[in-house]
Amino acid sequence: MATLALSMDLKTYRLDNGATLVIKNREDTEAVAIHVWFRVGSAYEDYHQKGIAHFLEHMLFNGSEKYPYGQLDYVVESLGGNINAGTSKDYTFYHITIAKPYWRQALDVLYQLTQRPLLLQDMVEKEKPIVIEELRRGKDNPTTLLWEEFEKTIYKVSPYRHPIIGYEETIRSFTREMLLEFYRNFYQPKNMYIVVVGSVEPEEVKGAVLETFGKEEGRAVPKVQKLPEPEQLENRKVELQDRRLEKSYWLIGWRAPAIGTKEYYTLLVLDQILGSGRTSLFYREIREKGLVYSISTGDFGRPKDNIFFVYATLEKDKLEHVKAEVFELLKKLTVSLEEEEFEKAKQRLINSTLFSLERVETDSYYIGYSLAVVGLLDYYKFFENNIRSVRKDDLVRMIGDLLSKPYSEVLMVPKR
Amino acid sequence: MRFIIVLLFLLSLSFGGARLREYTLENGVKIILKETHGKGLISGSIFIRSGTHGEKKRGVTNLMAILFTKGTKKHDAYKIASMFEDYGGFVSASASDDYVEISFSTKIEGLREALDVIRSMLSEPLFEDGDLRREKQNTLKALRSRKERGHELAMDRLRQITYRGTSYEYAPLGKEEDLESITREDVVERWKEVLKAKNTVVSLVGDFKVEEVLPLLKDALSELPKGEYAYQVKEADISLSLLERVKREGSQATILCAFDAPAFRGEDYFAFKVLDAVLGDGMTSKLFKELREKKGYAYAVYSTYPTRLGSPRLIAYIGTSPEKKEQAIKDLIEVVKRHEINPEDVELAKNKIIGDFLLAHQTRARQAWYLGFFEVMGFGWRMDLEYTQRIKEVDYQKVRDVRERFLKFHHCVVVEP
Repeated sequence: MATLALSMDLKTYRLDNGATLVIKNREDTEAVAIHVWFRVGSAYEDYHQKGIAHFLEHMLFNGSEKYPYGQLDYVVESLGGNINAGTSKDYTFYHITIAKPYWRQALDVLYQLTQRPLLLQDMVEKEKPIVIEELRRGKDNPTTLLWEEFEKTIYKVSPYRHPIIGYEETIRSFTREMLLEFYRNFYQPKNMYIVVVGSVEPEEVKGAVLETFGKEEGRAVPKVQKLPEPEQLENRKVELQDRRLEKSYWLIGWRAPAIGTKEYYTLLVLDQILGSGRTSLFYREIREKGLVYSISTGDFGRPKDNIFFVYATLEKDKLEHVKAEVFELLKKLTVSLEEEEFEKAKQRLINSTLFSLERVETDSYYIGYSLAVVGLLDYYKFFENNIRSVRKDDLVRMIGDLLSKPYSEVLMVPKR
Repeated sequence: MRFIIVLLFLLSLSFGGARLREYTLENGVKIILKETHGKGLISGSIFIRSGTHGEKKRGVTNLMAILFTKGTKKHDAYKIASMFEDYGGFVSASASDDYVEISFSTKIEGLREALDVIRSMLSEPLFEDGDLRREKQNTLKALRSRKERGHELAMDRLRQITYRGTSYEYAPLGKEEDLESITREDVVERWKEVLKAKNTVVSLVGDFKVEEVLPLLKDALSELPKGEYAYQVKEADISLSLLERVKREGSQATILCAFDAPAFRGEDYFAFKVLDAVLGDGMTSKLFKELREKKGYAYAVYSTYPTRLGSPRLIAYIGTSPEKKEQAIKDLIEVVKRHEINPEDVELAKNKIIGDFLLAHQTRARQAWYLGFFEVMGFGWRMDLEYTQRIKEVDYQKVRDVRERFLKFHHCVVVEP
């Protein structure tokens, strides 16, 4: 019930220019989180632009009309706030968490940052080595290579097959004009979701938003057809070797229901049962039996062509045993899962969201994700009800479906 | 000239309300309780002052902590986990350099059961051979796997140089040759040694009434044996600068440097915290501005000043491409030791620390952690209330002064392809 009660305090507005504003007034905190989300990420890029969504995110911190380069971080940090941003394949968001007296300043900073950036040519050149260092820092970690290979193996057509950060060649080729084009297309009101969570007066926030974001002109957003991934017809397996490794890493994944669909809630319950926490089946039956060093499950939370995966670290000679055990446990679950265990798993999932909402930034993140990625605030609002509605039969059917489908595997082993 | 807002308002903020109480049980266990208002959530931290100090076999304390959650006379591993996870919470146990920590979250309706599990974990753990064997293997692998990441490899090497001869020389995971020889008897011996009432601090923050939970805590903790585990904290000096290179394949060089810093007791601590924030915390910090923004050496660069009982250090990090590394090392040391700092930088850093500290208190789990941490480290839990004021009192002159007296020597490790 708690999640539902929380959602009662939501105020949703559609501004005249097409922007969406959601305000959640919470009395239980002194902090305020302000998020600005855009429905654009690396999956919206064309071939020559790989990495531009992420590069643009960096560039927005390099000066705006009101806050020249360096001023913006100064304003936020001098108010004791945190500012950051993130680029994904489906979304990009900018956010500040700050003590409640300073929400107005924070809102103004995010307005300037996202709507009034300068995107100067010399800053583009300044930023390139930094982003290339970020890319190399990622590649310095073997698990980054593992996850990149995993998506390359699963996706043969979808833009999800490219890394968010792009490639050194594309990053070096970015110009101010390319950034401006991408910026104008996607960073505008009709593609924008503003979320404010904290101890705030909704009418005041709405007024301040209308004075800033509300003044921007709403133009049509270009429709980007993300190429759909064709059905996978065969099992795929890739093996990588890496001299730096001491143990092996294994990932196996299946195509799975998209976030926001009815089946997605079943997937979340399955994930809870299999891989969430120390009460989970795989932890008890695989990790605690000494077959792996670690094992977990998850999904990419994508609005299409989503993937459910099992991830383990282990010794290579145990892989066949572990893989057989994963399939065997899934099969057994279809016949032996008791109603009580099933209901308990749902309750664990629902209760754990209560703890994650203690932080205003997590609360805003969930709301932003619902709006910008799922496309419906209902995902956030009715999450608890939707989890409660999952039936054991749905789960059994989903496992049956999973077991009958082709999968993709990537194994990364130590090179000796 | 930019204007710095003095965060007077921030200083008066607090998260989750108010009523704070302290109790000392007859056996010496210290309990700190904080009432909050909300939807029935509770988080707690149990600190046992010990860490790796005085370990005969390196890694035994961490194994002991892990095994707390694997089974007791009354509850098996599944039961232990489910008592917390059923309510959406968790329980975990681990060892750090200066303490063992058990942290947990649950809902009010699960508290009675949760505390009974905690009682059983501390007072009657099984330390079963099978579990010990498996966790030893896992820990050995985790230790060896630290070479997989440049940062972890560099940190381990840096520990061996800058903390030589102290308990911090090895990470709490331990040392390979010691881990292999650890037996059940070793674990039991360590448990009997460190799990003393006077070493134990319990902090609980949640939507409860103190009067309701105090009896439950008394039941759970009164069994702990009286007495204290006393140990000596060994100190390592840093009186000679040196740089060590370690080879590892990769696309970046990882550079970590430790500098001499003041001990955490005393006035210098807060001034040095501010200095650390000026140098390496956030986007306005000197390291970020100079090495990332001006020189383009790195995506990530920062410094930290970890609070440890002995051998205090400021540690600075940068990850950069191999062709930039020599210049990056030089510039990193230069910025830390000599880059100009003005009064405005100091005011900004203070606001940053105060803001971060308050925002970190959003969850009950972090509130409990801070209360327990300050108590177990010897500041006293009230430091949680005074911290922002102590930071505010630091002035420019104090920061200059600590900078002049410290940061004279460095120990650097470069992990490079």
